Amino acid sequence: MTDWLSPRTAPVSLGGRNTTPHSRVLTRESRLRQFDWVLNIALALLLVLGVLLVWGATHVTLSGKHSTSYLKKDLLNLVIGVGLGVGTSLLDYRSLRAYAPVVYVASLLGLLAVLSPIGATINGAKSWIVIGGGFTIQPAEFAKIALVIGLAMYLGEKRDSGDAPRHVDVAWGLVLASVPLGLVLLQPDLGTAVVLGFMILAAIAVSGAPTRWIAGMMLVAILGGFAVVESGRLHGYQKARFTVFFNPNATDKYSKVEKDDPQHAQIAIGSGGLLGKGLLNGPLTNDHYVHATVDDFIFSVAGEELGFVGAVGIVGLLGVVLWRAFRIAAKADDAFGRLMAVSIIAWFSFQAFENIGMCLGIMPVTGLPLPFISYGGSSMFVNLIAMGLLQNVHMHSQTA
Amino acid sequence: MNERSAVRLFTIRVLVASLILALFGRLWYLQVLAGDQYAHEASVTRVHDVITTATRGMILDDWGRPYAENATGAVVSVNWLAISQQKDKGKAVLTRLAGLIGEDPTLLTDSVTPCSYQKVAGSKNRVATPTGCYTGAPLQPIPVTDQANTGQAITILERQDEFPGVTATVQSIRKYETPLGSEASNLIGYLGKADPATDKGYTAGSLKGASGIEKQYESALRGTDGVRELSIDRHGNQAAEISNSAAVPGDNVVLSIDAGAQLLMEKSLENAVTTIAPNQPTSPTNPSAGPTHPTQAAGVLINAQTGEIVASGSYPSYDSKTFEFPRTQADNAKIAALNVDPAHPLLNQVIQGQYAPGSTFKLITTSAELLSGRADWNSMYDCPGSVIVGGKPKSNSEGEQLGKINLQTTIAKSCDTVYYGFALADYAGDYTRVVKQKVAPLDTVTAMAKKYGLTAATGVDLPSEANGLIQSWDEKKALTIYYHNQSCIGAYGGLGSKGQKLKPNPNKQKRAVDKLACGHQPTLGDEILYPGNYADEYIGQGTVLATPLQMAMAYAALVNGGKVYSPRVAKAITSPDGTLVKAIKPVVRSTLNVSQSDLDQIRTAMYQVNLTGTGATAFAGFPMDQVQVGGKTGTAQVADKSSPTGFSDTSVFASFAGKPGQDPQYVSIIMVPKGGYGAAVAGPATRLLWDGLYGLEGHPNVLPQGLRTQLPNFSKDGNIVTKGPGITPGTPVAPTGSATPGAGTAGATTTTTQPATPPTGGSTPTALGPLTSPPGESPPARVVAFGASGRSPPRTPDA
Repeated sequence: MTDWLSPRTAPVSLGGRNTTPHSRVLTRESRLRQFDWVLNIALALLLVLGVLLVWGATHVTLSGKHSTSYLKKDLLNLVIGVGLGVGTSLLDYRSLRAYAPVVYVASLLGLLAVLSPIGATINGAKSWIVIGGGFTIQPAEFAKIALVIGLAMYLGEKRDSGDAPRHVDVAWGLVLASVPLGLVLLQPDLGTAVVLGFMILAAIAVSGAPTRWIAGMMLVAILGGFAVVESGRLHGYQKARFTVFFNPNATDKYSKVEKDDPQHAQIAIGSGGLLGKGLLNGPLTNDHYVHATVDDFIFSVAGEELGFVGAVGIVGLLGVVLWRAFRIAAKADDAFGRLMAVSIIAWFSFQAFENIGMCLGIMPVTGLPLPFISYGGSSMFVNLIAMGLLQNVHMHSQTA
Repeated sequence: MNERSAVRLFTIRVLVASLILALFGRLWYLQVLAGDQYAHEASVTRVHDVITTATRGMILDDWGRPYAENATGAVVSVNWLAISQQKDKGKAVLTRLAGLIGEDPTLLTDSVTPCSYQKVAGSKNRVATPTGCYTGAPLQPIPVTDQANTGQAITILERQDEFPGVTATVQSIRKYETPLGSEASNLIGYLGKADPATDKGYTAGSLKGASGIEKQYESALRGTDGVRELSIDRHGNQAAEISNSAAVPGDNVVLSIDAGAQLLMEKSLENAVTTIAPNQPTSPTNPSAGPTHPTQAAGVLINAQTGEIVASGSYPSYDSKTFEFPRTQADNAKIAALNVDPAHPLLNQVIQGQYAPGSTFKLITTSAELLSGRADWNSMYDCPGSVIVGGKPKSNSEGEQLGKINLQTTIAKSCDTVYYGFALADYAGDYTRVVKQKVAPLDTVTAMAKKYGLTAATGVDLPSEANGLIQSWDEKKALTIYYHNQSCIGAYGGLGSKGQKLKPNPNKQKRAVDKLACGHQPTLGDEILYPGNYADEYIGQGTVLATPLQMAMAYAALVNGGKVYSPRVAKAITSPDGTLVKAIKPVVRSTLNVSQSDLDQIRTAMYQVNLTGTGATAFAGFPMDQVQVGGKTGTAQVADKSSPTGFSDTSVFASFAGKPGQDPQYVSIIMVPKGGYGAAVAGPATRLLWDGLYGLEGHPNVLPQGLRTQLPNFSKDGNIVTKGPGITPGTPVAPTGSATPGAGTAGATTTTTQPATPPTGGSTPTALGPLTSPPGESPPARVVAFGASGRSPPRTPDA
């Protein structure tokens, strides 16, 4: 809870400090003991569910054969991701600030590379760099990390003095944040751009910036949204996703295509009922009735095979992750840590809501993966790096 | 953290919590409240129809010789779903199949791949990929070729382990035939792709009659397509067959056309255009004038007593096989060329060509004058070289003066000036009625033309028939006013029919002519009609237009007791096994109000035409004792921009023939636009026709057993067992020697192989035909040229 409701000195945390018989082994100084274990357990459960659902989505191929290739790659991604996350959590907290400019510049270079001829176009957006061996990276994902650290560093630095950021600080922060946002929009990757937008908004809001900035940003976001949709820069399919969301009866050729996916996902999820049809036993999933179940529409696998119980479980676990993130943000003992946590909250909450929401038919379709669940290396890596950052903040606030 | 930050963090927390709650709520609704409904929806299968095209009915001549039939082709189809689920996505099978049928493996694979619409960078639209992909429903077997041979089909069917997902079925493919060498392509027509948007009941890609008999009898020929209703699971796999209705083959259309007579007609027309006309002087009075080089001819042969069409030719024609599906690039190029050919090979000129009938129209004029009492058989009429019409002399075609002659001779010699006399008198009468007495004009000839069926389409069972044109007083007046207004607009500019502003003619000279014409008539009352309007009309020129078929039906009425038939090309619709489904008979549109004795007298006069009159040279030496041939020549002078004189002559010959002492059996009309004199081109062509029909003058008889009155016989499996008589090869009827030998050849076998020559000398300049309206005479604006170009309104010639 926040400072004014619940003092930072609250004696008991769900981290289980001093409550296990292993307290002697895991000394107070042990880094292992200082992890937020509730967060870790929730993450572990989500990751395990993710692996199972990726398996469920891909164990039957389009041609009806059994396959474990996605499962194997997903496990590999998971191992690398956990390594990256743990590594990030163990980094020296203070050195994170030093990394910020490097990470920021590196992510800008990545985004530029994507727009250059070496970028590859998959599913209509020029968002990928092929690095060979069947591996691709998606620099927009890494831009999220850059924004988390960069915004926190820039806005947090001013806050450490105890002052709210001045107008000029906010303006510069916005300029810094707008560069990667603009590059992502050029791809065009609308979903990621909106995620970045929410991250910026949340970080600036919690930094204590003047209220008129917050209002102004929201206004700009709304107008900008209209401008982007009407600009003609969007692909036909992108526009159709809005069209079918607001007008389910649209019949233009893109709308017909874009209408099927969310409708089929809803049918799959709805047919799962209370308890689901059992893992690997979803006929609609196995028939590939819903497309892209391995990444964008993976929640439909959860809905069909694990039912209401499983779906609510995933949403609940994501809720736990966010709850812990809020807790870490509230308890962070410097603005840098708090703003990192807040950006991460904005990122994961919007991305999870958007992804699940589109499967449930309450949000328009975008290509955003479901954090910790969807198949995809870049996404997995940056998600776990972000969790590593959260843990890092958490541990720092305990040792400080 | 200061308070502002804390409040904002709390706000975010509330927002996130509400998002999570929203997800919970939606999940509760979807999975718990509406779960059953969605579970049901998930199990629901779609229904898909697989269409089996019915075998199209045949189009047969009176003996059952097919003009359009169905070849059975082995259609090789690929089931994309089965193929795509193979381990290598069907690559091996498709490569093997490509090798078997001799197709490029990549092209073949692309052609059976259902189009996917890919998002492509740099383009806002999705692009159908791969190139040449299959656009139809992927559940329908995708046809790869319909021209596989039996061996290939058997290979595919016997080695299903090598060709899983590939099937070979026997399907019928429309094929056009040329029985005895006759084409009849304009008549039979062809098929086109149906457009499901406008053609109700047709699926995409299905075929539909697009012209001729194919179009007219589409509903009978088409049959009923078979429909297999398949239930399809979510993935698109066939789950079960719900229903299966077999295709019902279409009915056959049996024509009254006889392939032998049809061949004779086609060859006679070809002869007229390619042999007779180029070897004739264009004018009997001008020996220095060269031969004509017509490009078109139309002719129709009618069973005069029944109104059935026995042969119908339109030259030039085309090869129906070009229109068979599937069409190659070369076929499409040929079709495109046919569409722009100035000789209009795709038009059936017999029903779509509107021509000035020339003096053959005197049948109508004479009937009208007899009915009105202005003419009778006992009076003598003066036939001067010219008469003054509208202040100017209007002369006989060759200025001949025959003195006092009776009506019989007038018809036989085709004296125009006598008809001008009738025209002047009728005009004077109508003028008095309209202008002085303010009552309706008699429109004597217009009324009679209507009785003869010339003012409206005959109603023949063919699509797109033209109406012809015989104008009443009011219509003539309206047209004159129209032209006058056009002149005034050309001179000074004005308003168009839609109120748009029109500019004066940019050409100074033409503008001057327009000014003169515009100023010529200060008032546009009934006074504007000239006696010349009547005079031109009375000899079948001016605004008078008729299709060859309309004229044929008028002459048939002359010799069948006054019955004007709505003719028919088809005489029956039969089921595939030959059972009569519907008999089709010509119906009588109107009965002439001319007395039988008058009709008999006209007929007698028309026998004289070929003995002593204008047709005498064309029929010199014809064995009239065996077959009595009557007729009427026509030479219609029409405006023709391509001619140096600005005019050309349509050669027309109307004729009827039969055993002496009996009512004539057949009526024929042959029209050769730009052919010259009726007696010079259409006349000899008609003689060829009668020679062949009756086996005269050394010509083999194309109808050795006469016209068949019964239906063709079919065996139960739909094969035609009637054997139609053949025509001996080498017949002069077919100068190109293309007549097909047929089984059961009747008639004398002849070994002559020399090409046909015109039976008449053809070079005698004495063949007479009326020529009217010499160039420059007022009002030439009423002379209307109509090629076989359909129904465009008459235009003023530029001359």
